[in-house]
Amino acid sequence: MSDLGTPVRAQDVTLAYRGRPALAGVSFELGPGVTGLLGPNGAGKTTLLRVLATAIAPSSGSLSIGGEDPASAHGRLSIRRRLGYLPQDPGFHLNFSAFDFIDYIAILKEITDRSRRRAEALRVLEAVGLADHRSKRIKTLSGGMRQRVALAAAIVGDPALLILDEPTVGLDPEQRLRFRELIANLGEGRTVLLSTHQTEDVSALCRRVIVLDRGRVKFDGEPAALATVAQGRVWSSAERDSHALAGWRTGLGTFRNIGTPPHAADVLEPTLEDGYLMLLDATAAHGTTA
Amino acid sequence: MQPHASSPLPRPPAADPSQHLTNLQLGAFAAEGGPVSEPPTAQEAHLRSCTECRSALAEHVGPSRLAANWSKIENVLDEPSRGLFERSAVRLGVPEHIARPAVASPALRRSWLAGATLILLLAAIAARLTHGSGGSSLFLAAAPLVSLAGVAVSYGPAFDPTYELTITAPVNGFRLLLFRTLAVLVTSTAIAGLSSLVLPEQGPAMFGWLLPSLALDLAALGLSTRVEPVRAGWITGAGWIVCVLLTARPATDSSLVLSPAGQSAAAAVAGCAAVLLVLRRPAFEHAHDFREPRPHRRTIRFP
Repeated sequence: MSDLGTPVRAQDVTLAYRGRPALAGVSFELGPGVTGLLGPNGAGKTTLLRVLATAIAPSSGSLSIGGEDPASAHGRLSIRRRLGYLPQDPGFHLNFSAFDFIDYIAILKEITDRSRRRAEALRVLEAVGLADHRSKRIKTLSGGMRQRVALAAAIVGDPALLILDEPTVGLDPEQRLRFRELIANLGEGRTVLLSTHQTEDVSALCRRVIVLDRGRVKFDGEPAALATVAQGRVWSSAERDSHALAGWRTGLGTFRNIGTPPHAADVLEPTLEDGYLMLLDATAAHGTTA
Repeated sequence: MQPHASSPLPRPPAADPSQHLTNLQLGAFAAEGGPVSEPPTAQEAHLRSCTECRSALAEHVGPSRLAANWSKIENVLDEPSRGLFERSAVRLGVPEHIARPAVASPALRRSWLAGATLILLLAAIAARLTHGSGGSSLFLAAAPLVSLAGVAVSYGPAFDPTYELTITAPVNGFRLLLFRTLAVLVTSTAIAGLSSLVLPEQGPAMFGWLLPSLALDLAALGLSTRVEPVRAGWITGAGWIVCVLLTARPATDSSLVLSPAGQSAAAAVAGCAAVLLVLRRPAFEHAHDFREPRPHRRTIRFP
């Protein structure tokens, strides 16, 4: 790893697709550790990750990644040399074996020496638990295994900045647990930005969370602070409560409600998910930044 | 068994094939290595037939030699599988780290090449069978289109499954694009060239598609700096078909494109497109349009 994480600074980053804003003045700073990026579909998460991964250039605003400006060719190259990126829909050459694919990615990451590439491929496949499956063609691997191959590709070259777009999607609970362990380990000394729909992933992994909605940052802080957004706004009831903004039956048979609790309601301790739902509802209701 | 000249141990005495080898003999055998002699020595003959001695021999092989041998085996097993084009490129002196990504194009798959060959052969046969009735124009139109289609699908989000990884990797995207284009161009030119042998014309006219082909490919690449490569391919291809139709001379089953003026025009287009491509190469540093972003929708609906 080239350094202890790569500081990322975004200032008023905007991006418009054919006149429609996908990012509308996004600002934040990232340091070492795992940061979660939450948001509903279409919030701009993937667009933001693509901008940070230097795949697309922002329309305006400034970006600094590891002190480099991705707007310049030299800066972009420097960033790409320390970047690991797992796209939302990682593509594969399906006829490649897992080893071949990682070897191919290592070439794209400028590892030209064959023995070094081999050692690196073995290292990353071992890290994701696929060393014994390295000779299998990717088309014969399960979805979870393919996702692990994609993560292995992202960590080729031991990057200091990891950008992971929904890495746990489609994984079964056991695989997700393994992924969390792996990402937690990767987060030590690296800057990891993890986009996800799973609030459990954020609770388990992240020391910080950013909530994006409609191309804007709605929340930026610790997961515990996000949970407190719903402090005093979660209660249980025997029947569905018409006052609730949202409510669902729990495994215990009671309803868990979010919103403004009625008088003498049985108020519950909020979770990260409660805070997230409450935050989004507030955004929808007021249409303003938090 | 031939002892190494540098072997520190003296060659052990020949053993009786029916007797187990002594520790000394096993140690010497393990230290010697080298090729197995033919006919085998008495020790080798015994080792080949005796499981017990082979097991005992393993204990005499040092861990470093074992690790080195194991590493050699793993190297062979993990050797990335190379296709025909990659092997050919490496044999021609292209470094492996350039050949591998350069040939990772759908236009160099067997199915694509078989399709391209079939199309061009049919066009050439049609030209031969309908000589004097416009068949040659059909081949003239088809040959550059095959090459153009190959170039259009070689790079970009539509057909390159690793496009997003490639665009964010430190590898020079423009150089990769040129290598892929060259690989596709060489292959499709070879197919079209061989198919041309079926044509009724002889001489330079047989290869009148060559310059237009180059011009179309470069024009499509130049256009790719503005629009997605597949769309650039469609636009350029449509323009080419219109051009062929407008310049066809049915009376002589020829085309103005095949005339010196037509060929000069194709060369000029190729030159201009090449200049445009070089000037606008930074455009390949960023991704072409990904999917249109989905409209803002909420996944969570509050009642």
